[in-house]
Amino acid sequence: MSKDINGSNDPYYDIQKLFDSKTIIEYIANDYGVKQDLASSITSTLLEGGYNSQTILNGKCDKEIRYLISRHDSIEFNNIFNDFLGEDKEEEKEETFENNEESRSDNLETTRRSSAKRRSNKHYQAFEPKKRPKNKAKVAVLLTLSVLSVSVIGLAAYKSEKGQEIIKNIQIEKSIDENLGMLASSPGSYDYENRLNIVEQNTRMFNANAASDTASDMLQIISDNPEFFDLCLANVYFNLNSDKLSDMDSIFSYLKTYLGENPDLSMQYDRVKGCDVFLDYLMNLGLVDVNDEEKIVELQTAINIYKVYLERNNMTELNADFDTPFRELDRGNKKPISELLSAYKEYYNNLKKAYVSTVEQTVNPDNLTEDDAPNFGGR
Amino acid sequence: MIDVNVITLEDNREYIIVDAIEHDNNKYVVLVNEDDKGIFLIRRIEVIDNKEYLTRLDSTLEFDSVAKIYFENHKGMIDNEEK
Repeated sequence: MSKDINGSNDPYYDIQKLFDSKTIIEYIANDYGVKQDLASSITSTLLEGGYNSQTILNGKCDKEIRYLISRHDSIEFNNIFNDFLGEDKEEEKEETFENNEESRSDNLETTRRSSAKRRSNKHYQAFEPKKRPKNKAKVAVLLTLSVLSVSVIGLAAYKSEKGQEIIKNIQIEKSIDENLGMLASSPGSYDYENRLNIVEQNTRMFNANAASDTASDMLQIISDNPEFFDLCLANVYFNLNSDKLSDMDSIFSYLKTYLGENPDLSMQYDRVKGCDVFLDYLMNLGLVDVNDEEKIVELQTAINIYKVYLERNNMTELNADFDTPFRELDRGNKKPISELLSAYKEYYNNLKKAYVSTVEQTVNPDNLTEDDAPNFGGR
Repeated sequence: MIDVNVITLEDNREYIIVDAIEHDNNKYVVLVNEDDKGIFLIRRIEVIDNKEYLTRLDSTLEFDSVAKIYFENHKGMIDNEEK
């Protein structure tokens, strides 16, 4: 698991970074006409260099991106970029409130946790909200997706506090008009004390009032906003009970068709087309990692769902290598989770090898693990 | 149509303010942009010379803390525990 800028491990921050990174990789690949692996390297370098996703996506890192592309054949990719930052980044720092820095820090010292690095990049902007008429339906989708984002991000913290049982019980079931609102009607400046009252206003914009409609609601969002299918699918996965798995079949079927027909969405299609089962998709997405002990909980949940998937689709024979140890566990034999992980890892590696063998000419051997060695030059 | 509160950030793009949160003696706003569906921003409000300013958060820990509160505030829409 990667570390954030402060060196702490935060799974939900990782998920947020994952979403941001995918968008940036796609942007760089499309706008600069480079391959995905190079776009991915550049994205990592920029994010590690302290640029945020919005800055990159707004084209404010054009100079840096072009520089990195020009030097992409170098092994010391990050070192080069750090040297580059040393020369030019200071010019980009914007301090619109520089003169007031000293007095401000006195007032805020007791209430802020700031780092020297962040302070040097701080940007202050007058907070002067204005009223704007917006399309209700569009706003509803924006709000829904933002809460879905937070639900995925917040899940990790939520899970740690209340346990796995809570996760199983979470569903998109309650009507949004009871919970979803926005700060829209407060007269004049903000009144934070009345936040909750304001939030209750301007609702009934997006109706998801029955559990049975959950998947179709998500499908509609994905249909309207296919670029967010990762987010929606991940949310559906985390929030649906296993008996809704049949809906996932519908979503996958739809996605494969939709994405396959839209060349502009090739990156998303690449991620979903090789996933024959949902667990594979989750691993592809990085939400389940058999090599990461911290993600075993997610794997266990996924296995529970996968079991239903197998049974409902008569797939036990197709995936016997993986299914057998699970069934032994299920009967109370309590096989160690490591054995289950090992079985699935083998199953997954076999799938991976089969997939790699079909696209061997497009795969960069430098990105492969030792497990892939037999496929490339008999290493 | 519906009237919403918006703010234009340093990237010259307009963001809809979907929530305001108080945490650890600080005030925050949660922002979404029409062109970046599914992505939200959190900015801290600081009062300087009796005027409010938006600024970025200091750390991912601060982001996580506020995001968690936002999630808690709205988790009812995805949580059927109370049903």
